[in-house]
Amino acid sequence: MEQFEELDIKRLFKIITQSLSFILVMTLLVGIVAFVYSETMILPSYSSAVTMYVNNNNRSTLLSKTQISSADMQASQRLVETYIEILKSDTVMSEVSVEAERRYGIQYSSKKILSMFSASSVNGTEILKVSITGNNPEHTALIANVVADVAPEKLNEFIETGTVKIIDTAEPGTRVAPNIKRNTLIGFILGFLFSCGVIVIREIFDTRVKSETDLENWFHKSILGIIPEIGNPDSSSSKYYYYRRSYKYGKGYGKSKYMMGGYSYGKQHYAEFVKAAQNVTNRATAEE
Amino acid sequence: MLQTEQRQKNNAKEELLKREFVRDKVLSNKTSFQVKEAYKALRTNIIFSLPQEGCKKISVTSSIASEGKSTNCLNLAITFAETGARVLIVDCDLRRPNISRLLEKQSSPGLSNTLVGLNSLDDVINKTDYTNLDVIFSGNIPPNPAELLGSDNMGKLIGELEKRYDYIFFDTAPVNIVTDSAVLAKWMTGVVMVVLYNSTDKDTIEEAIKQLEFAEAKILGFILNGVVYGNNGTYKYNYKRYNYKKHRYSPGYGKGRYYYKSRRYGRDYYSSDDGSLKKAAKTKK
Repeated sequence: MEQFEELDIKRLFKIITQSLSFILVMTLLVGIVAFVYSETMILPSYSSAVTMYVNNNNRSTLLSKTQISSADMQASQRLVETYIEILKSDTVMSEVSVEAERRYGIQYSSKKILSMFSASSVNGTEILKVSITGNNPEHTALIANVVADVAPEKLNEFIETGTVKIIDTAEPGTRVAPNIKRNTLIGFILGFLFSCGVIVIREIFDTRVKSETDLENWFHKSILGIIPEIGNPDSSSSKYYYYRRSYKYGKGYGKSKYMMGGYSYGKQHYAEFVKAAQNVTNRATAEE
Repeated sequence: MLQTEQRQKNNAKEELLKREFVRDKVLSNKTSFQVKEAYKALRTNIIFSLPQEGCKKISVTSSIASEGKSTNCLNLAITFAETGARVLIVDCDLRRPNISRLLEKQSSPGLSNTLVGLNSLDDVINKTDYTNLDVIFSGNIPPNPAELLGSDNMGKLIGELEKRYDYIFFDTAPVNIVTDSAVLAKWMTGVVMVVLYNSTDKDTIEEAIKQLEFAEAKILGFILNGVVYGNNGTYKYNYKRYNYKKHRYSPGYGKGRYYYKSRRYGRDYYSSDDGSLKKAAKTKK
């Protein structure tokens, strides 16, 4: 019957303190790998943003009200989100793409620009912030500015708004990713957890005899004696080395069967001996 | 020419070192106090777990090969002989005998020779360098060791020996690999199991114990062999022992039978197959 063997805390602690070097090495290793990977393999991303205020003549905006209720806040949120959806449309995006190429000579497809595009309202107000995130800091600024130019006419076209005023133009992008410190930290933590996991699992599956209490607990028979290891077979002294090596081929290596045990009748007499041995059992069956 | 000479020298050196290693293991004046005292404690425990009267026959066995049976059996016999009792040690591992190797004696006719009737009992009992200790070596390797050990001749032999000695130690083959040990159990006053520290698996020992209990052996207890102490006087927890798994578990079983390119080397000493079957199969193809 399978009994689930418990791993008590004391033993666990002992194991971990004994394998401390392994844990340390793994932690450092994974952390360093994460660091190097973040540093070299991941392309840095930069982000530029423009902020704009859309003044809507047809509807009353928050600024024109004397008292603002939460319903008003929600309404203006919705409004900004509408604008964002419009800006994300294919028409606007292709316009931006074409304009960018025309003005600055940079080639980004409308799909690409859409992937770089993100927009939101700033702190729940009616101010719209558009961010362009890409791998080239100058380009992100240029594209953002193109959006700033293209947005007003497009928004006017669809919603018949009044004016769109740009508050902040885009500057060459600031770096947003990858976050090297964070990645390295995650690497360290993962390395630590992984190495601890390995050690614990290895210990759980190790059912060898590790102490006399193990024997007592498993089999309920007495321990008659505990004999220390004589000499140290794992030391590099050559007598131990040769003895260990002899295990490779078995202890009787080089001896033929009739020589085993050190005594030999000689090959001829060995046949006699074998016959006599078989006779012992034959006689027994004959008597029966 | 020079190469073979060099190789011979290396082999000779190897042999010497191996023999030195083996010699270290047997109790002598050189062994450390710690080891001697461990054996004395073991002796005390065994004496108290046995009846006082009559001849006490103890067999030393283990679950798999190379756990230290023969060494411990010999050392134990030496320790008992020091009390002044008449002690005999019998090498019952008729497939891979070790006592003659440990005592570094050229073994004479031994147990198997007298069991088949070719030698008398007196031919077979040898004295050792230790006082009060006699030895019966294994003798030649018979083709049917388990049958011989279970035969009436063995019973008669043990009956004879009982009259002459106070303690008889039987060094046997590993229980999980062959049944020699279980066959002997019916004549034994007690069976002692040797377990190698940080090396033997729980399942292996469980199997061995089941086998012995089924053969109605009286298991006296365990000897935990080869313990290594780390700092703080506790066991060194992660002592990595060179395990030689194949060697210890495999003889006679499936995959690991012939190891290291061994039609030449790797005969199993616990099986009677000497590779001829495999050769025949190959040549047929």
